[in-house]
Amino acid sequence: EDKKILLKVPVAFATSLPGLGTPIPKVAEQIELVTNKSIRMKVYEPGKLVAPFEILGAVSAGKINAGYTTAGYWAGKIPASPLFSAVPFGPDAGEYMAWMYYGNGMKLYQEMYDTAGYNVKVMPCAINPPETSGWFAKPIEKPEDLQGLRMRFFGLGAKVMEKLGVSTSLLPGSEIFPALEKGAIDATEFSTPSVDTRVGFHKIVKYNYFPGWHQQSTIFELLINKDVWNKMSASQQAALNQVCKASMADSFAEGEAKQFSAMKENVEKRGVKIMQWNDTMLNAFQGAWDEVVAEQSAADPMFKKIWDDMSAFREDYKLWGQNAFLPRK
Amino acid sequence: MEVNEILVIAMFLSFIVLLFTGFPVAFVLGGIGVAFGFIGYLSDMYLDTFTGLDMLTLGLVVNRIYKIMDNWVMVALPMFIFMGIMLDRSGVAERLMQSIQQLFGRVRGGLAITVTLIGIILAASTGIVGASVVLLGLMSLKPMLDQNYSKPLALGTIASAGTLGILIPPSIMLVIMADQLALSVGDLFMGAVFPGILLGTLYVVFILAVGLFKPSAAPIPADAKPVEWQMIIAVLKSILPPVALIIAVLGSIFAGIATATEASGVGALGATLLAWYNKKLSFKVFKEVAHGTYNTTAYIFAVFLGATCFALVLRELGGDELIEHWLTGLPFGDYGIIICVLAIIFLLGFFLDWIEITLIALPLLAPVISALGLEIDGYGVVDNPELVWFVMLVAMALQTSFLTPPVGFSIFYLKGVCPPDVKLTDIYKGVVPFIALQLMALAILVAWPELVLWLPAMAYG
Amino acid sequence: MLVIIVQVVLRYGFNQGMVVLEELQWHLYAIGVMFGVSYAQVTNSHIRVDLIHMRLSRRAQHLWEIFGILFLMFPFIYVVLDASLPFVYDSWRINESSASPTGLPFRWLIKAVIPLSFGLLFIAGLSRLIRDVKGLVKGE
Ligand code: NA
Ligand code: NA
Repeated sequence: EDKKILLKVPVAFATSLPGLGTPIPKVAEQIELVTNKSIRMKVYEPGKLVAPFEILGAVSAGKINAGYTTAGYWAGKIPASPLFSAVPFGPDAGEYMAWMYYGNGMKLYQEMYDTAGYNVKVMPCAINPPETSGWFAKPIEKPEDLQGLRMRFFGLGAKVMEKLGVSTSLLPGSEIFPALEKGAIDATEFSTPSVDTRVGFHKIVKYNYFPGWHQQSTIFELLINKDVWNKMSASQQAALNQVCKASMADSFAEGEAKQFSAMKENVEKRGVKIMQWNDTMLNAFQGAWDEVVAEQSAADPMFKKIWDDMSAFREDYKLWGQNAFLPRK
Repeated sequence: MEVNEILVIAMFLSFIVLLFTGFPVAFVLGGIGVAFGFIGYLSDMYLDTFTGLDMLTLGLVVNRIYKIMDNWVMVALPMFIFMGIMLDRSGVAERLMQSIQQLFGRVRGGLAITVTLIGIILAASTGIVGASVVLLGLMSLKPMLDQNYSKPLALGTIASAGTLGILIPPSIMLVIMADQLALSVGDLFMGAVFPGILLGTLYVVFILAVGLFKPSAAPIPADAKPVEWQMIIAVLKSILPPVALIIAVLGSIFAGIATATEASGVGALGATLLAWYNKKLSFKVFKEVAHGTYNTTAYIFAVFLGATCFALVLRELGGDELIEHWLTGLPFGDYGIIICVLAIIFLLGFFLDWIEITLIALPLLAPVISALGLEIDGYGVVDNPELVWFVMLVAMALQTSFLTPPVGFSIFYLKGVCPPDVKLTDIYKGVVPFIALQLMALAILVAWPELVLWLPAMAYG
Repeated sequence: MLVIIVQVVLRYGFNQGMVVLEELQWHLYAIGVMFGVSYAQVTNSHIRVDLIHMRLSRRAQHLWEIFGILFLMFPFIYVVLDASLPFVYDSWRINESSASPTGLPFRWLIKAVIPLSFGLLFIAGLSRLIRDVKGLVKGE
């Protein structure tokens, strides 16, 4: 008989946001069924127990035993962490999971937390399709159009935008719309069309850019205090692993399923213009990203180690990736 | 009854009892949190509960305190307090009050109406209740009492006019509610405009009625004269500088030039310049203003620290589940449940402040409301119209949580800037009619959801 | 205040410096108010619900104050102090900085404000305790 355990799981995103927050209540429901209630999960909305940016520290210290969030939120604590959330010009969901589960991704993910001295067990527990590239008040045709913009931006992409003369800040989801409305920022990115629409950016800024070069896919993680993890039975550990893996598939399916209707309504009912970055812009982003990677790799050994491994995997993957798929248009 | 339920109820009860003993509210909250954390730990060991509380878990308080520190919105609070106290010392505020009141010279309650109007303007500029109440209290309490207004009317007007800030946009509370329910902040802001105006209008009508039926409570100043052109010009002259300041603060926010925080800095600087212009600024005055600002900000902040500890333990004891459990068991119809839910929020407001209610109760209540399947018309533009409408009802009900004893934050803020001879009981007495007005406004919103939903539909359609 | 004004000028004059100054604002604010809590304790200006308190005898007021400090205030301070030291140490150990790319470094400095200010609050509470005990003994 396994020892019963209650995982208290504060989350970084409201559980009502499709794809972003919706996966974890399903995980909570499933883990209870799968383990015949030997593991129960109690999900706490953002900030109820602890604020999103405090989750890692609190889980590691054992103040709470688990948390659901995304690694990019630890950029101030572990410079390499955004590589496990989303990588500019990085892999899409299929390739990302290939590296995570069949490359060295999972090993490096855990090693990163161990090396930084965090007493946590990490597992990917949801993955999202590409995000939109942001919402702007006017068309952006050339890099100069970005100069002087003030924009909310997440993760490594923010450093790219800074290189192009954008002043970025990482506002939490709830503060973006008011900042936009008051003109404290001129533009923003947040998430997928279905999430962005709920927040209401289209009411202020109408030019919605694609593709999301900065987040072709985004991984969300379940963190569990390592002492708690080690005390679980092998069966309980396997159950958590498998339920999270199932959640990867489910969240990806949900994300893929929910975007087109949001985009269609945006265009037809809300006057949104769906825009594509031109080649000049994509090249400018790519160029700036190359600089950012070089700087980050030079500054942080762990970043370099993970980046090199991921890049090597992706280089090999190209032979498959470039031959196997039909063009999307 | 489960052990958990007993603990939750005991926690509330001991809070209320200890509160009235007069020990500082901040430490009553913090202390009870710690005590029940310990009790929860013991009950896990001996009473077979599953709270998971222990010393480590209580340590979450530190993470929560850090999050309270890391809140750039709050930076505006001391700035607006500074602006208020400085305006007071500059002598400008008093003249402003008198001048506008001259326009209402022959109207009984003119000064109180002036306060309400300025309250609406402040609500639109700060969005921070504490700052509005403090500023209004400093500006208008003395003139009102000098003019022999009844203490309760004066205090009630100030507390309720200042509290409009949580409803009239920009409002921090609406931002947090939008976050909790994943609604558009823009819809909520727009939706709050008419309810805010409605409430302000009710206040004005009430004050006029008091002037009519109980003239001694709102006396006309002895030197009141009929309005003449000369007077209007004199008035314009005297109110020009402060109004320019308010326009600078307000305008910069609405024009999108500055955030509320930046505007608060502009306001603080502007008030200082005004005092200097009026030759009232000295190092001594500056020091006193800074000192007053510091003290006021600090004790408000202390309550936040204590409350976060209390809320944490309450949540770990399962207090939120308990409330949800009670609610879902109600055997009433749609509007019956809505009224019950609002009544509960109203009752919670007696003991908890809005942020705890917003964070604990709202996410539990919203799904109940959504599931009712009410036909509320969002004009095809507003998403989740029934929730937007419900949030406005809640916001209106929560206005009362600022004004209801024993923990009414507006009351505390106001008490902080009152002369020592004003008792808490005076304020309690004063807010009662305004609470009644809020309930009336609430009933109007329940009957006509269009008041909430029409504007966002027009604005964004 | 100065910081905010500088920020406004910089943002619109030179279009930069936004994140650092925004963070500096709340850093300064947080330092100010956290220490302000003990200052308010020294000046005895924390908000109280004084309905019953006012009607008590001096002796009862002293007794209650002593009880409150010992069983409400001090345990709260103890919990915060106990948990904040590892909290600060962790931040120092990993050299934590802001999560925004151009934010401020050395986050442990601002986190250290928590134990420091609560330490000060303890001293302020202790001095109040001693005064109340004295008052009780002397019957003031
Ligand atoms: Na994003
Ligand atoms: Na407001």
